[in-house]
Amino acid sequence: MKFSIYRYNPQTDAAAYMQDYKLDEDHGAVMLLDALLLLKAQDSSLSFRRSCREGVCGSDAMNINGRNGLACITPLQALAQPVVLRPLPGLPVIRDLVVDLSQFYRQYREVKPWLVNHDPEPEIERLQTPEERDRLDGLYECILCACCSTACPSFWWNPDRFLGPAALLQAWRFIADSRDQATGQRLDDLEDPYRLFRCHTIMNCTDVCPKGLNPSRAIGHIRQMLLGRIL
Amino acid sequence: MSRFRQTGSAHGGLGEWVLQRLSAIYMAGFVVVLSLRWIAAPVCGYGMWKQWMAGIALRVSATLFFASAVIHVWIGMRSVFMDYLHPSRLRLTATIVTAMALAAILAWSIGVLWGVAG
Repeated sequence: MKFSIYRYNPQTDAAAYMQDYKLDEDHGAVMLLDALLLLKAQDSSLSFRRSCREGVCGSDAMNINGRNGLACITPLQALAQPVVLRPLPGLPVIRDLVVDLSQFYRQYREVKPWLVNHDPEPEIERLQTPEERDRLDGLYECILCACCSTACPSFWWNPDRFLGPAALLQAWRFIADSRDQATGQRLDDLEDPYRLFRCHTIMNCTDVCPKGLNPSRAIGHIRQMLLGRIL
Repeated sequence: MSRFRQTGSAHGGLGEWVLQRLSAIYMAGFVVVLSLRWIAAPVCGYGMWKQWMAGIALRVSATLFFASAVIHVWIGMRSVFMDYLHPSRLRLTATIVTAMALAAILAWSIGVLWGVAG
């Protein structure tokens, strides 16, 4: 198998470059991450993040043949060769396929991704009806891999001011939560020309999400709710 | 990002988003209605046009159409500037030039529409 991988070491390289790799024996590699680990055995300087190797941690998000995805759940068979691997677009590169996600996490923190409830803490748990719980399906599963936000042109244009689909999906996750009591405050915080309304419904986020989530729909729900407040 | 967290939300965006959609719906409806009217009864020649345009309902609805177009373009252009023009001075200049151009277009459209009868 042939690979073309983005390489950049800020300590030694003046500029980034693409390096060709060849894997003569795949040793039964099924997923792209397996192949990357074999390449890493060939060239120990090749850097990338990985952890759970089963699409749960979101560490190995990268741009695979021009499309963001998780290396650990991308079957090698489905990839055209040479497999072109680049870091997630729009973020500062720390080294090779490793990007600096600080800004992405700051945006996540911006939406206060925790339950705000001022009632006395119950003895066991805050109850929800099955229907209320169902509203969180498709929202809580986000693993914060950043595939969606870094595929979003609005995020590329205003990465510091537009919250991005991942953070907005989480914003809706807590607005939609029947136990949360800060809906008004959350909507106030989102009613801004940049934070939410830079979304032009391009839907790259929904297209690339490796967990099959739909941030675009979540953003639509927030817009509807904002609209509902003034109608 | 921290700077914007400190300054809080600008509490805008929703109005523009709603106006953009309302203006689009009005323009689409106007174009469809006008097209059907023209198909049903074609308007030919300057005299016929002038007579047709003298109708108050048409002039009001056409004025609303041009107003919608200007609002729609204004919001769209502002969106383009917000996305692509990041230096504040450049964005401000582009915004002012666009506002003046659109105001002139609107004034001109109204002048044409309401000057017909005169």
